[in-house]
This record gives sequence, C-alpha cells and structure tokens, in this order.
Amino acid sequence: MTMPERKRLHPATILMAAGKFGKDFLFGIVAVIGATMFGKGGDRSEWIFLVLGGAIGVFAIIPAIFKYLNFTYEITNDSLNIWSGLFFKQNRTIPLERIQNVTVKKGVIQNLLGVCSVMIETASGAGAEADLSVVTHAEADRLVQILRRDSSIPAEESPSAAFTAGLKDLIMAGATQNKAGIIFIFVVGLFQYVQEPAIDFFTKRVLKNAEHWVASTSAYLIVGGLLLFGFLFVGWLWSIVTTVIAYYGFRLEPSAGVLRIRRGLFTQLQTAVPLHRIQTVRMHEPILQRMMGYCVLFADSAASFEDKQAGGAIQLIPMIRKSNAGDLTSLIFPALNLADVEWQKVSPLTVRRGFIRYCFTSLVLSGMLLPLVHAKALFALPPLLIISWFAAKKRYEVLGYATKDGFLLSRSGIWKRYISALPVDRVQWTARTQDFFQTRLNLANVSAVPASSTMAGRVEIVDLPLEIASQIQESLLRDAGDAAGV
Amino acid sequence: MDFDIAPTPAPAPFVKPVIDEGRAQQLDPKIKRVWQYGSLIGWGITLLIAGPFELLILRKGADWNIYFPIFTPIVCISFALLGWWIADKQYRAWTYALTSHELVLSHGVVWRSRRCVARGKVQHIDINSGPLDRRFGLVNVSIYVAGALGSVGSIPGLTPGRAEELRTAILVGRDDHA
Repeated sequence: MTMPERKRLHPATILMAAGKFGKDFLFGIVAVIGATMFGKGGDRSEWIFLVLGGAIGVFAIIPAIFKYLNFTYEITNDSLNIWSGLFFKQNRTIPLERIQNVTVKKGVIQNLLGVCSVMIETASGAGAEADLSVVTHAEADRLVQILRRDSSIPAEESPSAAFTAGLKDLIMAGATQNKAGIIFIFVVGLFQYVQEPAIDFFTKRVLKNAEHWVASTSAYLIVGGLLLFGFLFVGWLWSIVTTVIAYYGFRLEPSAGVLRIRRGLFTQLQTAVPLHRIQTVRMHEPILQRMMGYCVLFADSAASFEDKQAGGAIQLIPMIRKSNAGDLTSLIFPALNLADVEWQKVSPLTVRRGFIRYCFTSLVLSGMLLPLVHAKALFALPPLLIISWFAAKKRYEVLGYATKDGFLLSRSGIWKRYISALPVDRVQWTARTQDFFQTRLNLANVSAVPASSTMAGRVEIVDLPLEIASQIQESLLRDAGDAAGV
Repeated sequence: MDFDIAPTPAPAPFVKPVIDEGRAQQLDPKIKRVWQYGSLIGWGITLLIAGPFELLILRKGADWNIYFPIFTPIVCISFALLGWWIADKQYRAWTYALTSHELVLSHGVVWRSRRCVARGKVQHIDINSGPLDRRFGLVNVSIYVAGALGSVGSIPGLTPGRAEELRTAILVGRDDHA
C-alpha cells in the first residue's frame, strides 16, 4: 500500500491573493485618478488613502504567504486530511463518503497560469469544507477522480439528454432582464469621488443647454428622463454581457442521480449536485420572459458555493420555455407538476396592507422630488396613488399557495413572478410570524424552512388569516415526518 | 492486605426526564434582569463610541449656538429605557413547549413569532451562556437542524438543570421519533 502523499498548494496561491486584493482596490484607484484628472486637483487626503491602501495591500499578501507555507493536504483510502493555520492550527478530516459535491473553478488568470480551484462540499450548510486554491490542472483532475470515485457522488454515466443554452438563448436571457440597479450603485459609489465636477457639469452645462430649448421645469424632467433611460439602457447591455460571460457553453446533464453543470466563458465552472440534496425548486419569471413564455429555474440545496447567484441557490438554467420547465423539474422531483395548480388565496386584507405600503413609498418618492421641483412634486402624488391601488390589487391576485402531491407551493410577485415548490417531507422547521399591524388584523405569515443554508430556500406565505396559518403550520410538521431531510 | 471492595452497583435504569410534555413553559424570571442590564450595557457602549463621533464629526459643520450634539445621548438613553421597560412584556410573551412531535417556541411583543421544530429533525443542541447569563445563573439552549447556518431557535433564561433536562428530553425523544 502506497503511503498517502502530503502536498502543498501551488505557489501561484500567493499571486492569486495579491491579484484579488488589487481587484478589490482597483475601484478606489480608478476613482481617485478620475477625481484628480477631472476634478479641481485631487484632495491630498485621497492620495494618503491610496498610499495607506497600498501599505495594507502589502500586509494582505503576508497571510497569503503564510497560507501557502502552512497549508497541506493528503488523500488517504478513506478521507481527505487538511492541515492549515500558523497561530491557530487546524487539522480537518473529511471522510470521503461524506463528500457531496466537488467543484472545479478556472478563472481567466488561473487558466493563464495553468492552475484552478477545487472546492469540496459536504452536507453541512457552512459553505466549502475544503477550498484548495490553487492547484495545477493535472492535480485537480487527479483530485476530482479520486474524490468523486470514493465519495457519495455516483460515477459519470454516458451522457443522457442534456439541457443546453446557445448564444442566442443567452442573449435573450440577458436581454429580458435588467441590471440597472448595479449600474446605479456603481455610479453612486463613484459619485462621492467626482461630486463637485459632476454637479458642475450637470448644472452649468447640461441644464443650461436644455433651458435654451425648453422651460426650466421641463428641462429638469427631460434631463431626468434621459438619465433614467440611460441607466436602464446601460443596465440592459450589462445584463446581456454578464449573462453571456457567466453561462457561455452552458450544459446541464442528469447522470446517475446527479446534475452536472458546465458553464462560463472566462471563469469555467464544472459542478455536480446530487439530486437528493436539492431542497426547493423555484421558478422565476421576469416580466419580459413571462410575456414570451419563458422562465428561469433555480434549485436550493443544503450547501452551495454560488453565493453570487440569486439568493444563494443554484441557477439550473438561464432561460427555458415554461412548457419545457416540467421536463427539468421532473428530473429533480418526479412527483412535481406545476401545471394545473389550484392556487388558494390569502386574506383580502392584504390589498389594504399593500396599498398603505405603496402609498408610503409614493410619499417618499414625491418627497425626493421636492428639492428639485418644489410644490410641483405634489402633482406626482395622485398618479402614484392610483398606481399603488392597482399594484396592491394585482399583488393580491398573484399571491397564492397550494399543497399538491406532497409539495408546498407558493406564488408571489407582480413585476417578476416567483413560484416555489418544497417537498413537505423536507421541511425542517416552520415559523408563524405577525407584525404589529397583522396582530390587529388577525393575520399571520407562515414559513416552511428546508435543510437549506440560505433564506431563498424557504417557502413563505404572507397575510393568511391566523386560524388558517395555524392549521398550515401544524399540518406541515405532522406531514413532514421525522426523516433527516438532507 | 485485603481490602473489601464493594461490588460495583448496577447502573440505574435510564429514566427519560419529564418536561411536562405539551404544556407551555415560561422562562426563569431572572431573565428579565439579564435583558434589562443587557440593554443598559449595550446602549451605554454605543453612547461611548458614537457620542464622541457626533462631537468630533458634526462639530465641523455645526453652529454651536444653534446645535449641541445631544442627539446620540437622547437616542441611546431612550432605547436603553425602552429595553428596560419592555423586558417584562418580553418575559410574559416568551414560552416554549415540547409536544410529542415538536418543540414550539413562541415569543415577541410587537413582532410575534411561533416557531415549530420537528423533534426528529434536531441534529444537535448547544447550551451556552454569556457573562450576564452566568451572573444570574442562567443559560441559553440553541437548537440545530440539518443544513441550516446557525441555530434555528434559541431558548434563553433557563437554569442549567432545566436546560440539561430539555436537551435530554429532545435528543432522547428524537430517537423515538426517528
């Protein structure tokens, strides 16, 4: 019997840590340079900030060096052993049969250096139990072969029917969503560095030019409208670009009780998710996709690396025809049938609650216009109140729940529709909550929570009459049984 | 030299502790003091940290004739007193019950919550205590289920003996329900 070999990570680990720090710090560097070039001369405090940041960066690399020097691992016949830490030493042993998922991640820089990350998950909900960043490709292949062979992940069988997404599908998927919010946050973040020049430019150039053509109030509205359109347009383009980059070459294959997913243009991701670990399936329908008969499918499992995905769940497919979604959900939960669901309604009092909430939002929006257009902001209130009423009514029509074929289903969302399906036997615990106003109206929310590490995996039904909420809560745990649920 | 060594007595048969199954139990009344002093200490620390900030930062742009930085002290003292006052209501609202199938935790004054955890799903239970809890001889019991980050519920204000009884009752009872 050959003795297991204790190995270190690749020396590129130090370089990758330095690169990560630089990437995080890059925004600040660009902002300060921009402020200096386009502003009224950089404030000395900003250059001090840069120098301090650089010093911190040097110190940030030191832990990476220590990690490289103190991190070793070995694979024995039945376990993966990891030693790490300098002052707080840790020795972690992961039995191979406990391993649920092995993911290999290759970024652009990592590919150039010939290295990649191998992340190992068990059923625990606390993220990766072992993160081997970085090792060579050959070492990653060896690890994957050994770990998947001896773990609870079945061997890859010959490919069966796969779900793929071509470039056209990805562009469509990106085009039917909009990440304007991210653009907005980026601009707000940049604004603090370029405040004065930006305000000067906007008031002295843009508005002055606009006021040559139209009256002052209209100038504000037109420029504001163009800015809003600009945000939305850039957000739309950004959505297309990021979707194509993240899902290029997308392939989802069911194989021996496991879903194997491959995707990514620059950062290539290969992951295998055991079907029995999936707790909840969710269907998202952004409004444009819904109009064209498409949707996005997510699955929430007990542990996931993909914290960048929506709610921490695994995005099963970027876009799929709703009529074909049943083929994919039936792979995970054969008994689940999302067609012909008889949705039960929540309390009609939710219309009043929704209306009051949206009115409050309308008041806040009108208040934000006050500094710009003063008393004329009040003219925005009536249309906003009318929209609030119709939005509240629409929300009530959409809100619903159902128990069907051993599943608890919920539906919500006006703009973007959400449908969640949770097998009742996977419910770990339930909660019934009431806020101050719900207590007075005798209403309650009910949540059913599976063995999931994220909030997104839970199914919540809001504004139920208290008696019905209590009945649902009691029946859920009674029907859930006492299985471990993972 | 011979010693008469008494035979080792047979171990007593294990008797599952009784936790008044099904009946809603209240916390130990001393938990009110823990919450009250906790509120004072927490907001006191916040005042010590945030107060000087208000003095130093806001002072830059403020006219001392009109504005004196008392906002932070007012907020901190108000919330500390609110925490003191609401402790009694919190205590009366907090109950736990162990039924044949589940552990039920009910609490909350303004936001009410009733959380049910199936006994068979409990993976492990922690008993922990902070310095204030120890000062009053109390502990917290935290319940963990599969897959969740952190505990799904925590019962404060139990005596150590009561906490052990509850833990044993749930974990032993869990095997009965597995």
